[in-house]
Amino acid sequence: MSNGGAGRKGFGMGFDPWRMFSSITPLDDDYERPNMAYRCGRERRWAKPCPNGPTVGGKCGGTSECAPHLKDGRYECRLPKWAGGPCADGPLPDGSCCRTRPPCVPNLTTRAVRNRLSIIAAAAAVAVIGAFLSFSPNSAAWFSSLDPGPLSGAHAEFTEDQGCAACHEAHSLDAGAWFLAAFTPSDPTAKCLSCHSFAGPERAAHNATFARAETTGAALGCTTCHTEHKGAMAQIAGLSDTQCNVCHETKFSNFSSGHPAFAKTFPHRQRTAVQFDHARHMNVHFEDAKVADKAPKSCAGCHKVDEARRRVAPAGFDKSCAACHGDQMAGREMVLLRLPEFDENLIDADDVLAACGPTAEQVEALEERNEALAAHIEALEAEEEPEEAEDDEDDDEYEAVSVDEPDPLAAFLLGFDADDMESYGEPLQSLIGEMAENGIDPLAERIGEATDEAHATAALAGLGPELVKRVACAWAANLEYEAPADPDFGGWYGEATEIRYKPLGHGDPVARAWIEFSIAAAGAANDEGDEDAMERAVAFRDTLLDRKSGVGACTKCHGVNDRDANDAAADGGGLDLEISWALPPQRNQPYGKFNHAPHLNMLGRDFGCKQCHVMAEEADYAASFSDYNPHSFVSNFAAITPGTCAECHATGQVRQDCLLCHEYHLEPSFKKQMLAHDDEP
Amino acid sequence: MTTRPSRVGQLALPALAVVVAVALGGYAYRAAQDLGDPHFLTGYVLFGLMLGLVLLRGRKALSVVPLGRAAFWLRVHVVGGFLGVIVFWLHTGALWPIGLYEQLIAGLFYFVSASGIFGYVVQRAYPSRLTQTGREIIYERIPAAIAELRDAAEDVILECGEKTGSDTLAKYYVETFEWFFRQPRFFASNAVGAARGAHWTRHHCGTVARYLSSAEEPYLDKLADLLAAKVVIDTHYAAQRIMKTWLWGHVPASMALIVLAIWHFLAVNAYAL
Repeated sequence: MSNGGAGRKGFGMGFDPWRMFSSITPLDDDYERPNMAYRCGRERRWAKPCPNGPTVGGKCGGTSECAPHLKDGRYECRLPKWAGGPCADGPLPDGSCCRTRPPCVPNLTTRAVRNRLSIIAAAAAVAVIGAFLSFSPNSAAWFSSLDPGPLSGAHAEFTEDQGCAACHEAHSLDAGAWFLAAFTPSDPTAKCLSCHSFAGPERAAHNATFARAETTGAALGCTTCHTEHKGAMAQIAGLSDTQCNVCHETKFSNFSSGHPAFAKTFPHRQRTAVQFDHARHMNVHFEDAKVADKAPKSCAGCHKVDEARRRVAPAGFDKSCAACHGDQMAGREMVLLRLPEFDENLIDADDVLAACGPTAEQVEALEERNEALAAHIEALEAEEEPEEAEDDEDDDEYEAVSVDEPDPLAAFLLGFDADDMESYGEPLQSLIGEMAENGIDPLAERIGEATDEAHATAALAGLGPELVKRVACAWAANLEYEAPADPDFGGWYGEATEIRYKPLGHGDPVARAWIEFSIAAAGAANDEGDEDAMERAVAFRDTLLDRKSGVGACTKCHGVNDRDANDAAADGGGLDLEISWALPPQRNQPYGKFNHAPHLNMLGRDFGCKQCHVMAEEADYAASFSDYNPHSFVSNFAAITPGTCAECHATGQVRQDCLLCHEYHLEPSFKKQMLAHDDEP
Repeated sequence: MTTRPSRVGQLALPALAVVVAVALGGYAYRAAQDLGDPHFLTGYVLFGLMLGLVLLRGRKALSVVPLGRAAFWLRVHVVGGFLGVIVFWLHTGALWPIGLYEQLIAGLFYFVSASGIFGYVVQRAYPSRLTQTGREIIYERIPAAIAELRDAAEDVILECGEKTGSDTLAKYYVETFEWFFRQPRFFASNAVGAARGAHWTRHHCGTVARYLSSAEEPYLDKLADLLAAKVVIDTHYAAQRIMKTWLWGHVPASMALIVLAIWHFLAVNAYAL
């Protein structure tokens, strides 16, 4: 559209194009409001827009310059003055404008474009959500709008069948319930616990109920610490030190700065099972030229560093001790029964003769009688007066072959006072008579009565009934038993007035059985409440437990512990003892963990131990074994403190987070349901 | 008559945003320290903030309602936008999430934020540059103005030919200036504030001037005035075009972001609440 020739005016000096705009622009008084949806399409070709502009609906409104008006039966041109006024040609007969032009394609205004793009974008977003939902979360979880990220490896494996519903209850709901679930708290922990199990309350801190009331806080959910959907390689089991600090009373930033002190005697809570004075061995014995060649060259010489885990156990007697102490057990014999001095012979000779047959003396006496009888007959035949045979036996006073006191075992078993000859004469000679008649049985029977048959069987293992019978027969005849051979190889043997046991070596089962029996017998006697019996039982027990003379020298090294040492309710009389035959079971530390192996690997297997275990040279280690209380002790080594560990486990060095040494959960495990599959019947 | 807010007034909103960000960050930190889950609160705040930022469009639509000056709401929008970025990072705990859907949301969020920052920058930079041109022209009138300039230039060329009998200027016009007057030129140059259009016109005017007679020179001067006006119009066009069309990305992306965020809100609440 031309604007009536306004642009064809001449240019003189002082021409100002900007002034031109104020006169040539047809829309001066019709500001193009930006909220209009369409603009003249001619602008797209950078031509002048027509004054009519597009219609509201976006169609061209400028195919003619004016809209002629019918007045008095004639059409009049309505071209405005600013456009040149009514044209000379005027409207056509049909009332249309004579000045027409092709229609344009109106343009959208920038605002309209923006609005349309906004609608399209919002619709596209809805379409994207729909596209996400159209994919099964189970087969293409990565393309789910509900999947905020890949599951960790372990969880990704077993959720394949159920998909999101394996953990999220809402996933199996219909649309309405799903929507409501968005505004209803759920319990994802319940789903976790369908597979995970613990040894204590599942939702309690550390799965434990602590004695201190203030430590029992609100129930915790799994997701409090473990958050999923962090990627396949995410370590969701981890717990940060910060999280630990939330509940723990003593808060500290890291191990090397502020960790609470260990126990004063850490890592020991009681004396060692075996009395082995490291300091004395290292500084005295191993320095002795006589045994220096047998001394271990390093800690690994006695400790099984190759099997190091939480503890580095000693290699055992044969490897660690036998070189020097291997022959000490055999020298500590035990007296099973001793023939004491009797003031009178109460044993029926006929019974003995019936049980044992004649003794050598009796045979000799019989032969003398026979000779005397033969001489008498011969004299009769010669009518000579026979000599009257002397009957020494009848006329001799009884003189016991032994002058010893009874042994403590007999005193305990037979219930007599070892100092009172009148007290033990009858029962002990009765036992000897029974032994002469029945061998080992009377002894086993009495041991069994004191405790039980198992003890009797173990304690008398290897003791031959014939040996017992022969010894008893000799004693019954008031004779010393004469052994056919010397007891060079150990075991049971009879010698004059004693039946003895010579241990075969370390770990001798009979010696151990007697010690066990003595402890059990003292306990049993205590239970019966007979003070005299208990006194005799304790005396018998203490004989065997004596560190200097006890059988097999067992208690020289193996600690004797009072089980009641820490029990306030116990009698504390040292009557419930136990022997530390082996390393005690490791203390249950459900929330702690330590492994020597990596430390030894790094510090050295031979002498790396010394980095942490510093010997306490002045410690009175031996005093720890002066009584039966294992908890009253002095360690051979200085206590390990957090500072010891912090020499390496510190900022910028080896990791020092809480989980390095501590566990949060109590015996975490899995439930059988975890293994169930949908395809199972 | 509108008055600019005082310096204290200008700082009030950013200060409030800083307070909110610090408080929310402190809460998130404490929650993480106390085995809490700050993601819900930061998510709700972020979602509310995004809805609030969208309300700026509502303020424009309800211009007749006295809801405060548009400039104030624009400042609220800008400050809220920057606060939104901080809350977004507090919410995700990372610059880039893992899940595909969350990545889509994050991508849109970053695009909306970046486009908003871009828009804020151009809205601050271009008006002063346009003021420096010494002229004002409504964006919607630029096509007509260019057409008028083009017509005026052709009139000058025709008159020159008629009055001087020489076609030197006319030929040169057809070969060079006609291209220039056809539509806005040197968009990129004008967008970044360079003056390539002005250089171009001066260069060609200087070139053709050597071949013109003294009678033709006044017409070249007139043509040069028209070229100078065209350069100004081109500058206006480039600046105003950018100031208007950056919203073509910002607003639609915001709409898509809101839709995606609503679904995210529902899903997270249904599965993790």
